[in-house]
Amino acid sequence: MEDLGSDSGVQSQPDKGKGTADDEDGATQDYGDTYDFDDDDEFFGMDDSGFEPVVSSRDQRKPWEVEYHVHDAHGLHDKQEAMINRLVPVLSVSKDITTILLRNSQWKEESLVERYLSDPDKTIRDAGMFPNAPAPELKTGNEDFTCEICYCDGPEEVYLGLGCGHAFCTDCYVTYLTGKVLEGMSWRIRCPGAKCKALVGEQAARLLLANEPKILERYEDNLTRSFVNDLDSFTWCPAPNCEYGIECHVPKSAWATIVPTVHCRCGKAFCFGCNMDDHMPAPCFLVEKWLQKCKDDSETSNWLKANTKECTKCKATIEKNGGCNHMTCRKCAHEFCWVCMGPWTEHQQAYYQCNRYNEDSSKNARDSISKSRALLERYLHYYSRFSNHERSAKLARRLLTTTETNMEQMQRNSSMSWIEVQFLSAAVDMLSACRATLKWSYVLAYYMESDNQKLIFENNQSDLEMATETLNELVENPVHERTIEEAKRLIIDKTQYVKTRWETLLRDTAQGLQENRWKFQD
Amino acid sequence: MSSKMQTKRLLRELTQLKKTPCPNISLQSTDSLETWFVDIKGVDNTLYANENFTLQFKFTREYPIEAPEVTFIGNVPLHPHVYSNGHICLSILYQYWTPVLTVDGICLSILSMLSSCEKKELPRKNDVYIKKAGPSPKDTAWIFDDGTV
Repeated sequence: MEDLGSDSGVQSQPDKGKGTADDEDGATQDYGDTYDFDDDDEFFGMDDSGFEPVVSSRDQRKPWEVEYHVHDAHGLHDKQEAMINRLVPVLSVSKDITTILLRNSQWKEESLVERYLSDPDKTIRDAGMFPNAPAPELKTGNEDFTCEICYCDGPEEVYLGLGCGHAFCTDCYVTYLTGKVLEGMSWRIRCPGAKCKALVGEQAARLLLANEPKILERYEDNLTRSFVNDLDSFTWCPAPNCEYGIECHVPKSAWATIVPTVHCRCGKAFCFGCNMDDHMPAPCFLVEKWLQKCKDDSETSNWLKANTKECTKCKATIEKNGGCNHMTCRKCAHEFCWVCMGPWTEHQQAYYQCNRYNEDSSKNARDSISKSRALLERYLHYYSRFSNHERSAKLARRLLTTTETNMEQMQRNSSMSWIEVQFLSAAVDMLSACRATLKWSYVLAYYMESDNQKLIFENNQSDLEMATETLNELVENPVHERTIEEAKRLIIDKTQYVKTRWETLLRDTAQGLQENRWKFQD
Repeated sequence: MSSKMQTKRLLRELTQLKKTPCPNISLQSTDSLETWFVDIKGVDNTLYANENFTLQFKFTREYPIEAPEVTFIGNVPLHPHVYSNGHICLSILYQYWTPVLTVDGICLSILSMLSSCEKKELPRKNDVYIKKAGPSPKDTAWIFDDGTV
């Protein structure tokens, strides 16, 4: 395959689809000049001018899109090499040592260089390497050599020693390394010597594993794995069995105002910040809050507050399901009035009326109950819409199957070719995207404080929602009392309209978040 | 690890243990090259002075890349890191094992663990552990929280 060497591709949003190998190749070229590791902020255009794309016009990004690159294993490997090779002349030590230093400092070049320049020897020793040690090599012909692991000795033994002075025969070393590599370790493998802090460098490991191609491959995999895990600007695609790594330089500090949605080459759309499925337009912190709220059942207690009262004596929770106001607690047998909560002894024979209703204490109790009832209703309003779109998104996936049947049927009942009925699946794709956006838009709305800006947002939201529902109906029942041509025209028009509404909502929220247009409440 | 290398190493350790044993450590018997029994005697002027214990060593095929399985058998010392089923909570027997450690070295470590003990008592949650633990202590996920031994 010709794009084996190429690794990084600038990928755009769904309308561009799963980018072809060719345009990724092209993008690799200018990738090097479009950013610099050291100045994320500048690169990202974090100033007041907002969210201007820094890439060439060929690569126009939408305001809600972020720049990112999808790398395959080769690409990730090249990426590491590039970072290492760039630093070798700066530190002017061997590549082996530079590599370990970089890995040991989580690839934070700046702080590493600073530390290194102030005390090179200590930095190298702290990382488990030795400043002036010769490059590791396999030795033989030493009369005095004894392997401390298997006690083999004599001049015919082949062995390897690190800068720490511990030497072991290659058989033992390879067995030792194999075990560690299969445990998932790579550059953190230490010398087998007792309490020895020396690291088995990559050069030594490659030398030893030269005859074990499978283990060596696993070793290299582990190295790449730790590279992606250690760097903040890299993450793995969370899709099962997907092996692509994503590079994105939106700094963590910006995740409150930018939703860093990335699209992996495998088709998965997810948030670079929290690795959850795409949750545009709600930013990560609101998503986390919302899911916590849904999970920890805080609303159960709200329900209890709204629907029950506590026995004033033993605090047992009581739900009144009928009968008069004269309550007798099942638990402690305390008698009280359901209406004013006062002891029943003050009420005499007024079973269905409480003339103490206007006392201050009973007023306060009722106030707090109605307040929590209002909170609950507000939550349920947003939650029902959120979960409704979640359900509909699942149904949309099922719709895809019926749509395929519909498409076949259309081809049979009319003169349309396969390509001419693709509009249906395009409509379903659009629907799915809108459902996901709408779902999370309710989370955003739930936390927004009510003001005019929120009204504008809600208008956009309801426009998109209505358009989506209409399109959904059309797609579910395309040829209901219509000719196929009419249906096609209608659906294409509606899909286009929905797309406009969808883009409007996304653009508006992306800009709004950048401008701090909304205030969020707890 | 080839079995030839393993045999060589074990034989070498065995000879060393027989010929030049450390004080308070003596080889009791070897059923086979895979299972050894080593007697250790409590060090003078410690809580375990004049007490005798037996350690069982089981070597897997991966020894010395992997640690041997070491347990007390018979008379189990009362010690906060030794469970009443003979399992020993000692880091070098599990995560911190390195192939250059020897039977000798392990015995010394265990002796020093016993010697530094200040109060003879069972480990916390001993009852829970011995109910749940498998036959081999190597199947336990150990947490080493005491840095003093």
